Amino acid sequence: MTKQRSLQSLQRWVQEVITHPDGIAAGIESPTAKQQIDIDVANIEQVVEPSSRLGSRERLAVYGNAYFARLVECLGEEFPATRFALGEETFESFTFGYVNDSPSSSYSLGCLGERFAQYLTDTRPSDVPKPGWPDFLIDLAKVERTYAEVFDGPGPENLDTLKPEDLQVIPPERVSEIRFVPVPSLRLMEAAFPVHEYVTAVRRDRAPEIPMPAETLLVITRREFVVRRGTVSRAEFQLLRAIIDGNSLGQAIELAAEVMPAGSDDEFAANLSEWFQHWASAGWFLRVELSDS
Amino acid sequence: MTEARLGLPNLGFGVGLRTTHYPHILKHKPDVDWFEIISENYMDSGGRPRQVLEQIVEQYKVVMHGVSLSIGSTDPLNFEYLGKLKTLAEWTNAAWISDHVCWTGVNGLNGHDLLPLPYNEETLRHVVSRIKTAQDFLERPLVLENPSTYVTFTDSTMSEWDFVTRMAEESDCGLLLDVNNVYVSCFNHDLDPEDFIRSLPHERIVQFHLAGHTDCGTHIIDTHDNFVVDKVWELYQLAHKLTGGVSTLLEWDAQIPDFDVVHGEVLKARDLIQDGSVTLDTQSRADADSVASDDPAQGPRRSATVPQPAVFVAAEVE
Ligand SMILES: [Fe+2]
Repeated sequence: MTKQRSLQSLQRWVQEVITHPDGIAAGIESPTAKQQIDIDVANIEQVVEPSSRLGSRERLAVYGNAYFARLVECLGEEFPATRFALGEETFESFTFGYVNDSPSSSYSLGCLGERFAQYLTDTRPSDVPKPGWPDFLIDLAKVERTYAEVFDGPGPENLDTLKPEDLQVIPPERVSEIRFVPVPSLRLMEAAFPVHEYVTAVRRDRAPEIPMPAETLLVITRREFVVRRGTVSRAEFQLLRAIIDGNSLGQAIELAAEVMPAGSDDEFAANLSEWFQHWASAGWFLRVELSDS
Repeated sequence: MTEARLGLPNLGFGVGLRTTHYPHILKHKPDVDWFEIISENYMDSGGRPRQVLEQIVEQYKVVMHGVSLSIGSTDPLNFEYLGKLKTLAEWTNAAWISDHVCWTGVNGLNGHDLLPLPYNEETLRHVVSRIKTAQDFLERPLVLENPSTYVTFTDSTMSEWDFVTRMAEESDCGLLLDVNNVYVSCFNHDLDPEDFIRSLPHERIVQFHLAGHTDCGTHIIDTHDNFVVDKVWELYQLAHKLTGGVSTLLEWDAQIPDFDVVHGEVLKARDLIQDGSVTLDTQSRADADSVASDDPAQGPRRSATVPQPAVFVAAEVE
């Protein structure tokens, strides 16, 4: 029998070995593992016992395979459209790389996909012109992660939401002062491809083709516990963004107009009341507030 | 003397609550004795899972089963996690909280697996003290389950059953005996599952788990994707006799069939202990007994045989 080592050393060694991307043998030979237990692959039986049917290394490999397989499978459930777009094998190798790069540090599998879109952004091949195939994948991963967060995060179901008539009681001279309070699930997302349609098609088993690039401005929220998404125009999107950032309607219009082409002021004026009606009926806001109320 | 089941009730024959069955359960309100929920899937939920659970707890008794307590880890206990566990237990009125005799990660990481411990005095002291801390915090006993394992360590100086017995007695916790895990681990480690079951402190067993597994020839993987095999039913009968009967729960986590099939599987346990015999469907037996190919030496990054736990909640999108 070998000398008793600490539980901590054994655990650090096991974790290092079974999460090593190149497998058990490479894990055992890695400096980090050797810092805990200094053995070679040939001496693995000094730590892990063989069974009558299976060697120590194969036994430990059950955990190594399971580690990646389980997390890749969970990511596949969170990112079904990204998986479909990439194909099983490529998705597997991307998520394998991701898990290796960003191992889980949460008690919940719900956090597992948190950084996946960022990982795809960080590893985007720089020689592909934008918007290209990598950008489609990044947008897909972003929208799927957003759906997951909106689905299980705080929602509007037990809250009163803004009604069209709530806007009619605002004195016209004070309309520019109002602040819209969004429902907790409201999210805006800008994509270079119509990824929302792609995701829906995959979820309906329609095997969609990769779409052509098209500016896509998404509003994502939840109603009756189901994620809802829709698209808006550039002007409406910029206005919503400024409103969600906490600006009053007047300030928001100014900020939105700044990033719009000259002459778009008319677009705001012409559409504002229609937008308000839609925001209220779509349940995007809880209420409007006047600073002194 | 310890009261049977630590004084906790025998809830009857329950089913592990899974998202695929939500619509069926809400619509048909099946006559199930109780449900076991995966704690981590609900403790942070602000959406559908939580809303469904609110409806479930109005009609059924629930027990909370966790996979991330990591009671055997040498990392510090996560009190944020324990706090959320306690809050969830309060609002679901959970009959008890269970997890596993295992560790899930160190250095702040979570591998989301139920990793085995070396069974020796150091581990025992460590685990017992953490169970006591967690129980004091939660203000209720923990119920800990024997996991399916695939390796044993040379650092072990005692059997798993001796370890579990001393752990339960010294920390005054309850035990969740997963009969299928006993079968799986004993096959993998060349041990006798009957010895395992006979050697436990039976009065501390609060609950049983039953599940299907995948036989890879050289080892068995705990996949929860099939019917319970006959050998496990035999062990269940033995465990029932030794404990006098405790809450029994069926876990089915991959290739999940219709709710009635899952419920029917746990009701076989009831029939078995009532008439001493159980009729197994021939087709399901053929499936359950078939040998799968999963050669760990080949090192596939991904295979069809993912050991539990792998319970993920997918979003519903319009
Ligand atoms: Fe279990």
